[in-house]
Amino acid sequence: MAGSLATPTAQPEKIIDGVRHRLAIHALWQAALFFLPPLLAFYYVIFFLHRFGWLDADEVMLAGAALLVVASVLAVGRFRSLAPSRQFAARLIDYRAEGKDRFVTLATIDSLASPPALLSRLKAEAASLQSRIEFKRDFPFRLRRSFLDSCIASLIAILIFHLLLQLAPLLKSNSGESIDLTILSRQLAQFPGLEKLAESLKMLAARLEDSALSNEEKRSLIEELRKQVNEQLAGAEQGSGRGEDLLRQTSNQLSGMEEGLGAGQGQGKGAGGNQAQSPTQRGGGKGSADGGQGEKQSGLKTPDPSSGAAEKNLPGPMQQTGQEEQKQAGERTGGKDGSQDQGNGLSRGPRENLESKGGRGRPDQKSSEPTPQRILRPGDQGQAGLKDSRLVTVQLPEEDAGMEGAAAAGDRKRRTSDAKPPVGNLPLSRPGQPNATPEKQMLPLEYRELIR
Amino acid sequence: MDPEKFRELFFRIETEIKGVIVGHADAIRKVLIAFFAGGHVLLEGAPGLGKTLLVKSLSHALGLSFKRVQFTPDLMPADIVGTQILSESEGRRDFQFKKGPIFAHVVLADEINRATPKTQSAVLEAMEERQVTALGVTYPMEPPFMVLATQNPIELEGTYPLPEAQLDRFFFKLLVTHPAPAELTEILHRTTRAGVQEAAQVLSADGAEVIAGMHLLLRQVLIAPPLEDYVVRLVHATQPDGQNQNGAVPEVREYLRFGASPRGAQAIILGAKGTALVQGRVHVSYDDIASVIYPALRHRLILNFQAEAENVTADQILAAIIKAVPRD
Repeated sequence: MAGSLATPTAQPEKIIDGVRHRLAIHALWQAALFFLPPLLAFYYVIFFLHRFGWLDADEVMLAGAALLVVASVLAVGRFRSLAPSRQFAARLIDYRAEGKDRFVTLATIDSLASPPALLSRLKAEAASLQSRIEFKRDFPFRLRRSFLDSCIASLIAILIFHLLLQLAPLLKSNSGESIDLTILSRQLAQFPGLEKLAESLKMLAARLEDSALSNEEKRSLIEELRKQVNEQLAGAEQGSGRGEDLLRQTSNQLSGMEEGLGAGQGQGKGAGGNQAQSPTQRGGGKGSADGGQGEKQSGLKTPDPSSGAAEKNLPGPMQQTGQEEQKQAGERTGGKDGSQDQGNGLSRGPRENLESKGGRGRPDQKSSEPTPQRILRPGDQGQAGLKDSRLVTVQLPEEDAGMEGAAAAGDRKRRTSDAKPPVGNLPLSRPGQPNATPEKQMLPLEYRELIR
Repeated sequence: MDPEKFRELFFRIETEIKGVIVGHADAIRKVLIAFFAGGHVLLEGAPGLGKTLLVKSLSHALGLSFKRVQFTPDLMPADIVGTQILSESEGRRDFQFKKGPIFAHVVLADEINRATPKTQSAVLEAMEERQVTALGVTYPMEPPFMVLATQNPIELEGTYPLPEAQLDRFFFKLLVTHPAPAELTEILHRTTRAGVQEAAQVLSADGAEVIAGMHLLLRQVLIAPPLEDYVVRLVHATQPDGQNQNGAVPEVREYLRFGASPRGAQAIILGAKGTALVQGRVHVSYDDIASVIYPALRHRLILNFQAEAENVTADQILAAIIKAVPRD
């Protein structure tokens, strides 16, 4: 509204309506500004989720439109509560012009039931006061405190959202891999020609949730789909961009899951024995009963150069999140490998130890095989800040007793035995009778504390 | 009646009364407003403060008939209303109604709380219905009619406090306070010299018609519905029971036995209208309402024993109510 000065000849009722209109526009802005920050925050969250594949484009459009509608409805509701009444506008004019309630009376009185002489006199008195009113000066637009509060609340909401994103992997359930597969399927569905594969991936994710399937069946399903992905990957044109990267990522994911299932199964069978695992069966050491936990991470960490390239090709936040997921998944596996250690005995290879410790960077021994770049070399700085740290597995008397119940305790003790000289208290054969049952060499009490 | 004419007459009457009464400017204005609003006034103050002189000056200035009744414990209702007397004319003896002092335009009921409740109630009908019934015959009062009663807040022995019903019939209750030193000096100058100054008559013989016109104009003054709503909320806030039981004015629940009646709201609005006219406006403002809340409601709030024991006055409770009730 223009900041026109009310002319003395203007009707006071028009001044009241003019001020009311101006205040209504202010109220409209106030309402819109109040809901703008939360709307933008929601859009940010939606696009964030879309960027990382939690929502596809249609869902983003739908959610965006729904949010816009909801925000509009709320803004209209707030506008209605903020919109000034004629009485309120008149009261403000009275306040500004020192009208002694003349404008309020004019705005609210029943003119038909009032004496015309008195009413006309009141209008004349009010008209003489109009020169004291200037719209821009007396009724300026001011940002309300609520707008600032809304901005602050929206920022806090976004921060909480990011905090929850950071915490989400820690709180992830067993179905985390299925969710990852679902995300990958959504991402793949965005590329022409990969819709069928995406659909298969989605179905696989759904079937993996089925607890009735055995690990073997799951593994076969994964293997079948992995072959399809590899075929698709082989048929894809070189440098086809992100689609190819996604295929590689999917293949790696499936490989990791497949290996995880295999390792979990092997663990179940070889519990109590010294089951040796091939170096490629990384992640198998995480073997909880279902063999599924944390395998996603191992799959992502397959030392395939193409996988590394795929990860490098990921956009910044995605790559960062992936690394964090790997790190956190590594911590999970590191915390769960105690049971595996119990089952596997001492026969795990050094690389397996590396993998089982996940992202903690706790290299045990150097492998004779070609060392992938991602595995620490002597002199490298580990993630936990250990440099050139070495691990030795010491079998304590409790473990030697083969007590299943002492598995957890043994795990804890093993953690405290890091960076000890490679000396153990393994049973020694009797000299001259190599085939005799080895006698146990008990650990002297004075050394126990050192080892523990 | 033109608002300017109203204002001119009002100020002329007020000036004449102020020429006789030193100080009490607010009481004089309120008495005049109550008069033009058609109400009755209860003046409360110590003896010798000019209450009776104020009423006499008012009647003189208005050019209206004036009667004074000194209320005493042995005063009978017939002494106020009138009585049947046996008269003889042309050899016939008839009972005729001899009108009492209540049949005047301005009646001063001096020290009204000294008469018995029976006598006090004799003026009830006259005050509210503006008529008197004696032996089954109703005699209308000639307008304008105004009762100004005085009562003494001290020397309460042998007095009969006015019943609530009668108190409610007074438009305003005004407190006549002691004069300031300068005012007392002026009083001495005026009353201790030769000659007694009296208020001049402002209205001529057609004074009753003029007063009726002023009375009508006062009721036509514009008042906005939000202001009426404010008055309603104010009066409603004086109720210690009902919907206000959990209200926001704890003083009301603690010290009041009964709140103001609808007559209180009527008195506020009519008083505010009169104030607006005197201020040269044809509409009521919040300030006009605020200026008449105390005289219109203070005698309508019935205090309980706790308030009496703690010396809590009605004005203190009204202040709390005004503070608690928002204007918007």
